[in-house]
Amino acid sequence: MFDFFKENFDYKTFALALILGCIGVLAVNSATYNSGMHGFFVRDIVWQGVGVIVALMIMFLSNRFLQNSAYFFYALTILLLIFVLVAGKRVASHTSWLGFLGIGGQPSELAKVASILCLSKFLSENGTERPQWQVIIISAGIVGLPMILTMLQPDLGTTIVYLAIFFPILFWAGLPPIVVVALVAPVAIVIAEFSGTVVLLITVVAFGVLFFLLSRKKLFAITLSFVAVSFGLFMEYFYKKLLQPHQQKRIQIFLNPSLDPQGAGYNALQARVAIGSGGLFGKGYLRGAQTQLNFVPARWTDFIFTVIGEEFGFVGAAVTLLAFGALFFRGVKIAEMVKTKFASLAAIGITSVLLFHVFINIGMNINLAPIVGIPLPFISYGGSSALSDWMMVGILLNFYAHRKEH
Amino acid sequence: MFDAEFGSRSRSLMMRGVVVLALLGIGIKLGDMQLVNEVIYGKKSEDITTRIFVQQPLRGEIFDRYGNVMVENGPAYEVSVIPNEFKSDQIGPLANLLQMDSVDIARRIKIGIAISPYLPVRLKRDISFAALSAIEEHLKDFSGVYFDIQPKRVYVGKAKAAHILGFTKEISEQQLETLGDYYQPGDIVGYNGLEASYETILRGQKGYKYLAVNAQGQVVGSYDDGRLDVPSQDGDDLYLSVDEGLQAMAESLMVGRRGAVVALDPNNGQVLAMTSAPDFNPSVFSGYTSRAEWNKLINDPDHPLFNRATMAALPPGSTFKMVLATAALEGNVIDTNWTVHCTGSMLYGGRVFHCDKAHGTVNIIRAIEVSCNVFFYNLMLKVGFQAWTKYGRMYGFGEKTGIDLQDESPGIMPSEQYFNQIFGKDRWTNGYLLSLAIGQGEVSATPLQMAAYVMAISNFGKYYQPHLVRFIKNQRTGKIYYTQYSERTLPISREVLDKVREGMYYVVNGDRGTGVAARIPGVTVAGKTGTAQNPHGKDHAWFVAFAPFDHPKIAMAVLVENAGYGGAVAAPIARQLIQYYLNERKTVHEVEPSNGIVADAAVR
Repeated sequence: MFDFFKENFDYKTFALALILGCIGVLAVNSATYNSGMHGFFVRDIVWQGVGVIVALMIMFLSNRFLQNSAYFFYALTILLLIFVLVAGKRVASHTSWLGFLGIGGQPSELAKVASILCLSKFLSENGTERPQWQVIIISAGIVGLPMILTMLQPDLGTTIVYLAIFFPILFWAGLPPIVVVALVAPVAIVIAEFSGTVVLLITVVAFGVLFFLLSRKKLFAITLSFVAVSFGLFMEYFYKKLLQPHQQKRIQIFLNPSLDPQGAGYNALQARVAIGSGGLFGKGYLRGAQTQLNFVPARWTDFIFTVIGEEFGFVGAAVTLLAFGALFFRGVKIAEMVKTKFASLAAIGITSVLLFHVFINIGMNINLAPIVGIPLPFISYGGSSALSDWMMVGILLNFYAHRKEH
Repeated sequence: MFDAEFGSRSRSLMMRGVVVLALLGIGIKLGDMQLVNEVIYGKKSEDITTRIFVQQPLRGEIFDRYGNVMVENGPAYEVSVIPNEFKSDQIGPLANLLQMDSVDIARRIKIGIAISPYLPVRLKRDISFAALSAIEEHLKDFSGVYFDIQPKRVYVGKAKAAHILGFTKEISEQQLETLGDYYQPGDIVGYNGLEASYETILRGQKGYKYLAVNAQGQVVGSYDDGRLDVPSQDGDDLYLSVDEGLQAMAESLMVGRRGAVVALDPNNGQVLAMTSAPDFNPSVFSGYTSRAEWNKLINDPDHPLFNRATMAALPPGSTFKMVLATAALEGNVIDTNWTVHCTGSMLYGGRVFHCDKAHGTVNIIRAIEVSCNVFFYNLMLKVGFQAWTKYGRMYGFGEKTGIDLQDESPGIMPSEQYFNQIFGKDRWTNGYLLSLAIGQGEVSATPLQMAAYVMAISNFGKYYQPHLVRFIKNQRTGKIYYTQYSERTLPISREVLDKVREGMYYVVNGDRGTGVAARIPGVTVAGKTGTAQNPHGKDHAWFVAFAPFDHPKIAMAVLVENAGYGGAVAAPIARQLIQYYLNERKTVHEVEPSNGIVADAAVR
């Protein structure tokens, strides 16, 4: 046992996650302190504790166990997602909560982990002998199925997280840059579409230039540009039909918060005032006027970063960001270290999903990203997300422990 | 395939690059907000925060069918405290001035602090103007104590119409959970009656004002030049079908009694009057309602808050005989030549079933006129349970009429299946049927259902969904919204209804009729009496009527609880109301939307 911890325990990853979890517990305590929801604080500690135990349990799983059970795990979470759609409880206009034995849970959180493992297994075992287009289509299917089921709930935030699984893992697997750019293009064009005609034009031109730079065949580049533009315009046409009205509204408000000052725009505004007023050192723990006076809504979940920003200031926010950064570097390092292709791909998937969560969540607190409602890993209050975050840490620990094995 | 590039050094560098770029982006933006522009966010920072002030809209008003105001808004003065500016040693003197309990004041302030020490806490609501004048000059001796004006409901109509209009009340914690995001603690919400069923229309939309507030809770100016402000939108007005004069008269006739009156326009199902007695004074709820007043109403054994017109389901007695008559004639079971000889009682299944006297030989028309039970006992055995149930349901019994009020009882329209369920299969006999034939036993209907049933008989088979609201008007834009109401034509032939109506004609106008007390010179009234047996006390009196006979303009049901015989008590009430509506009413022109832009309204 002692030998194991000396040789095979990735204390760096574990310590970084633990630091972030502790920051989370402190922030949840402050966020709920004056709100009558202080029970969440105790529950947050319990969930973090459960998460740590789960992570350690996963670490002790045998080599290849995760790889061997990836398809089974994936199928199970897909069934859960379907079950949620049929029987799920509606919480905050999503049907993503599953009440089971009195424990609420969001299978969409588990499905993210399962999709990473499933895609990694496919690419590492069957990815090499097939033609490239088949690999891309099957990969898109693996990620697309839970993505569509999540979209139906409807949960826009968790849906777009799957993009952070798909692109980075394919990229890490060695997909040629032009293909990656060609796949990213339509998504980027759709996002540019929301920002107005000028931004759309610039984006389209930029992709055209990229295609010409990356491809030696000019005709191929022209075709790609044309397809990307058509797809972007096609999506624009369906923009209003595909997205729920409240999602459209959120995107519009992201671009122009004054559209709905008492709704989501108000959240964004209050969050910004709270963080901005934190200054260099913050107002002190439990002393943030905005957070303690209940100005910032949902501040123990999606807007938890306002608590850190207001009460601990730039220094506190920077420490948090550095801890995240170190954790992500560690994730890439593990991806390089391990001997199996499966573990390498999955480590990249985990890293990129966590990075995406961090970027979007903090981004929506500081007006860099739309308010799509995804949690800040290890820090936001929420049982399912704490569990899936720690599961991902557990998987990294497991990979590290077996890093020398094939 | 693309295996060669898997996990290459350049890709790993790009991965790390993305991590650095993403976090750096966040860091730069944070630095910009927290370090460079801290002054903007924050001078602001320590001192100023934005706060939303809710602008309450005015609730819509309610008018009768001629455009007379029934409910409008008036001022209510209230005294509130901003805890942060208030010193606790002021509690004693303030309690003296406001004539409140100082413990109560301390409790309210404590609750307020928990929400925010900077927001006003209501201490006393709905202070009279006189009382306010007396204390106003003393208020300035206190710091952090303010008075404010809030709208309250004022009932200005001639009629109380308490059960129609309903009342508003401060939102309860339970309603806060069920009614959705729009509401906040302290909001006024329709509690029952039209105030509740048209809540979303009457309430309007709240406005929001963004103000910059310093740490002392003082407003230092509008935020962002008021660009974010959203003006409030007042609620829309309701124009009812109620005839205020008729309603007032119905209420006065029912004073001192328990029961209900419902009068409908047989041409469209509009409610002309609807009263439930005893009623209450809705003004009690318009501003601040003391717990004592509320408990008194709640605990009154006569249940004044209970709307008997739509919720009291009682056996309809003989007024129900037209259901069986319709079933028999429409099903060709009998014709007007079929007679029964009534000796005053009938032996069936070893039990004696009574009639109030020996009517001799009667046919169906005469049987309705004299209300002969023996005739209908025999007829029930011929027609059968199933057909009777079918026609009862056709007349709308056993289900809600769908009137635009929230509380309505469906009553009971029994069927064989229902009897098997409640008594057990083969545990009930045909003797039970004989009771049903004369509207007694396991059958019940509300006064509203009875009025709608008479409406359908009077107008030759049109069942209009009874309703109170004719149209909705937006006072600012003048835009008119009509609500959609259903109507159906009953599959009953004109000949059958002619005979049923003829029977009802003789009830009032025949030499042996039971409802002669409803006769009006110059107007042909038709009706039917009923007496519902009451195991708990004196029988309930029913009378249903319509007039004029050929082209009916009013159909009604009158119920007087524990009043004995229907013809003696309920019929005169109906007579006076019909007399008023057809002969004495001064205003006859209904208010019509003048510059109405007709629009479909998906209401309620």
